[in-house]
Amino acid sequence: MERIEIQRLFKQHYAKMYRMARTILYDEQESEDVVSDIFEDLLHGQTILMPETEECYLLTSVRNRCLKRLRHPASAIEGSGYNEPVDDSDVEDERLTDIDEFIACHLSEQEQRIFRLRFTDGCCYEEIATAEGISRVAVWKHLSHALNLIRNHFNK
Amino acid sequence: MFLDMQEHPEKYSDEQLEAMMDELDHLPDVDKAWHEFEQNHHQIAMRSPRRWLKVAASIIGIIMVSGITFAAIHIVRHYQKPQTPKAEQTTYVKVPINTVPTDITTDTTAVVPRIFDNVSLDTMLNEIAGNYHVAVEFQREEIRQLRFHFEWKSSESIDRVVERLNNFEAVDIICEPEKLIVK
Repeated sequence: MERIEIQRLFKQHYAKMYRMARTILYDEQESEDVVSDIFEDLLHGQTILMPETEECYLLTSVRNRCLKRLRHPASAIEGSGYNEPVDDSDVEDERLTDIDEFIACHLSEQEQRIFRLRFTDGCCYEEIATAEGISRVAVWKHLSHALNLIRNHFNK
Repeated sequence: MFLDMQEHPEKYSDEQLEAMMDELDHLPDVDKAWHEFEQNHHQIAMRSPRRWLKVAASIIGIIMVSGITFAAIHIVRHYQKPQTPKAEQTTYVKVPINTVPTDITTDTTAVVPRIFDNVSLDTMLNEIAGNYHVAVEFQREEIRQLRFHFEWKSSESIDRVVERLNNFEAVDIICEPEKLIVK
């Protein structure tokens, strides 16, 4: 991908991507690394992004990479991942699909909407609160509940 | 504290949770981040069109010099060949009347690639799969609407087409005997 295109994507989407990474990883440096790795892969790879789906692709990449990072044995942060070490990217992708399916089956409709707004659309807490007509603290608690459910289910 | 707040929000006051959310939603300095990215990936300079023009010009120059050198060697060798005396006897060779080779069985018609420009994966795969008489199964609805630019040659095998499609990072297709499964 050309430099000018990378620059456009970076400047347009970096803030949201970084914010999503921090929501999952919390650590600033790790969050920067995840987002930087995604742009580096775009720089060296042959992926072509369509304008209408590029944001979705980038935010989904952030979410998936952050969840994979949480499973890395070297990570000091517990998260909503698994305890087994990473050994197969196909297994990783399958488990990410499992999380998506679990969310669809076990979260309430409102929790699914809030989860999607935060972890797919990259909305800030204020935007989610406005969309749902609830307080930011309520948003936080709904997300906490959802993440705890996921964590407890997949860490059995 | 972040993880504890996430796992046990009831232990914290609303003010503490608000402060955490303010911190998480704080937007970074994008220009500074881009500058750092450029510094760390100076290979970006390799991607500039001017750099590639220079590389292309160098390659063309090398090919031209090689071609001229080869031609010169060929000419010199040709004129250095010893002259052979003409044979006293004349040998007659039967030349078939029909000089068109009869062992050509392949169709020389070139396959024109089908170009999908900004076409949804749903439409594109259904057309491709139809050509190979296989079905298509999407395991996620949202992936149907992803759009791609893709050149397809119907002369390629279905395995080769799937392999090329899987080069797109957003695409993961499994080729089964009678259907394509899009994960």
